Amino acid sequence: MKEKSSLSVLLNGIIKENPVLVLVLGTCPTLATTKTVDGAFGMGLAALAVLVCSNIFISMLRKIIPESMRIPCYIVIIAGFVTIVKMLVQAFLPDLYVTLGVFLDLITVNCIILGRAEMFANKNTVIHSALDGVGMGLGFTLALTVMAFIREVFGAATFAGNAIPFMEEYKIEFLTKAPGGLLVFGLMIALIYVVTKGKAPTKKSFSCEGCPLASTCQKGVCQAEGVEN
Amino acid sequence: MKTYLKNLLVFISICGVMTLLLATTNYFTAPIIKENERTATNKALKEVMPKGETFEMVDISTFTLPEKVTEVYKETGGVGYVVKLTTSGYGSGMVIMCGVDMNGTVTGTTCIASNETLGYEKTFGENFTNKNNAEIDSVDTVAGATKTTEAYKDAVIDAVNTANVLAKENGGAK
Repeated sequence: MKEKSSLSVLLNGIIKENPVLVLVLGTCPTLATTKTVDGAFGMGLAALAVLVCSNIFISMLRKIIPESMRIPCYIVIIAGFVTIVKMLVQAFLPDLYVTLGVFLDLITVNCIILGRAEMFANKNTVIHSALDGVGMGLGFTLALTVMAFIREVFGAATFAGNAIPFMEEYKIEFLTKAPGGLLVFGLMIALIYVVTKGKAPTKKSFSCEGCPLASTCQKGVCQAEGVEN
Repeated sequence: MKTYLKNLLVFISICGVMTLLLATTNYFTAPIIKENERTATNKALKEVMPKGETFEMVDISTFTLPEKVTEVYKETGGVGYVVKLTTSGYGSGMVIMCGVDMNGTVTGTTCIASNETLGYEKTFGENFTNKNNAEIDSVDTVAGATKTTEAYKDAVIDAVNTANVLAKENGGAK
């Protein structure tokens, strides 16, 4: 595999392999926490912190963690860091803690964290894994914040909880509801596809190596079914 | 056998390291979290009973009250009681504070902690202000958040009943 530069590892997650809009991971918190800009931004930063810490820790231990025990080990590490972040947010940002509610705990099962541990951190150096965590975390935060901006400003006529008086008459309340969230999500995915001129990886272009199930699936089945390697 | 032991040892070591990190974080954050909770409770007391000025905690160990009731505060000027309850909606740990005046009318309610997913518990309490036990029954729960809002409603009913019991014991109007 061609060695990637540190900068490309860092920038990959922001647009080209954006975890939310290109890899379509972490959809649940994306739809749930994008009602307000501050909630979405806080969620993004919390996930970024967990992503960086877990990526570093998993990369450090990648030669020690036995292959057959890797998922339980990853879960313990990720759940541990989520609890640490939760305690820090509860202590120092109590308002954000109330806003995020149960979704802070649910970072543990966020596909992005486990996905990057499995697809990247257990195969790469500590520095690259940390940069991947920062890039993916920033990509996640950016996607959530932009989506929340659209939903909150146009749906509720507020920004970070502050009313925007001239928008009051033109707000589209549908955007604050779940179907509105899905609509904005779909439009943003389409926009990224247009911006990247379709060059962002699609599911079919992921190699067997990058697949989370690569070690357990029967090699060759993907190729037989026409998936590119 | 040797592989199993090695795997087990690695797993236990990782658990040990994470436990150490968690314990250290908890050591530093626990007092701050406790202080935050106290501040939130004090803020909520004023919010749910705007006419109240000073509050004192009531010893509820001698009363037979609903299990959800965890703390009760009495407004020292005799305005009423604020009842703190912990209930379960869609998830557990929904903490509600409800102010009730001496006539058994709700003066305000707020949710200070929850693990609900939709967020209705943050605004649903507004429906109970200035209502007594009979009127609370007519408040509709929210479709799509039935468990959360039903649990909230039951908690408010329990709060009013608790306040009525305490008011009766202390020679209040009810």
